[in-house]
Amino acid sequence: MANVEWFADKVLNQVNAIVDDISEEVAKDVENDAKKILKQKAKTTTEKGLLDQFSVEKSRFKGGGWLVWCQGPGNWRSPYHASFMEMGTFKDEAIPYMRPAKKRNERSAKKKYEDALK
Amino acid sequence: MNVLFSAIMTHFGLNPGSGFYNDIGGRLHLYKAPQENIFPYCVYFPAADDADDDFTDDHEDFEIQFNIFSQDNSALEAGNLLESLKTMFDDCSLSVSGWNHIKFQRINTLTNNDTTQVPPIYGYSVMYSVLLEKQR
Repeated sequence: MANVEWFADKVLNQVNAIVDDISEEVAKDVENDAKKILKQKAKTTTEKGLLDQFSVEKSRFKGGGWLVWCQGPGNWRSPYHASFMEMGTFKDEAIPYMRPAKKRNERSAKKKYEDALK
Repeated sequence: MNVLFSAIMTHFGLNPGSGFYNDIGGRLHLYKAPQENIFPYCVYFPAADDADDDFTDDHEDFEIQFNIFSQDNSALEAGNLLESLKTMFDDCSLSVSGWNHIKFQRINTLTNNDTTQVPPIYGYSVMYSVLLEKQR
């Protein structure tokens, strides 16, 4: 019987490590852009108060990746306002800042992954 | 972006006597509703508006969000509005001036309630991914 040595596990781990590093970098870029956008759009003291309530953390979801939070778990102070501003309410117009930041970084993120995995 | 908004409003008003248009009495507003607005109503806006969206690329992709609101003692009306919004806009075809419309795909739905109000406000935020291709 012929044996084939298959190093797929090692290669996969190396690729995963590279993807994880780039994902963290992209998450921090998204966080920075979200803050810039929020700074431009925020009018009230409550809205401006969100600027120091951002965080980036490794996701514990099954697919992995990184999460960018504004007033995330364990890192927010009253009044809670982040999602009301992003999504809008029946009385307040939406002022998105997270999704524009994500969109702004989609192309550069793709390039970063391509360059890192060449 | 105005051509896309215009296409959305045109699609909304195609059959004024029925469906979602009828359910919200024609009250679809861009960005925000007027003060003292009557319920139920819907607001739509670009959720991922970016300066790069300048309609100069061959393809443009957007995220459009609809917020529907109902003020009622039951969440039933809001649920019905959600279904009629989905019927009207899920995978619809728009006529966007100068562009081929590729997709209008629903990507997420979240509740958007305020039960501190009397009667309570029930609502949904519905997000669509829109892809356009420049006509040659």
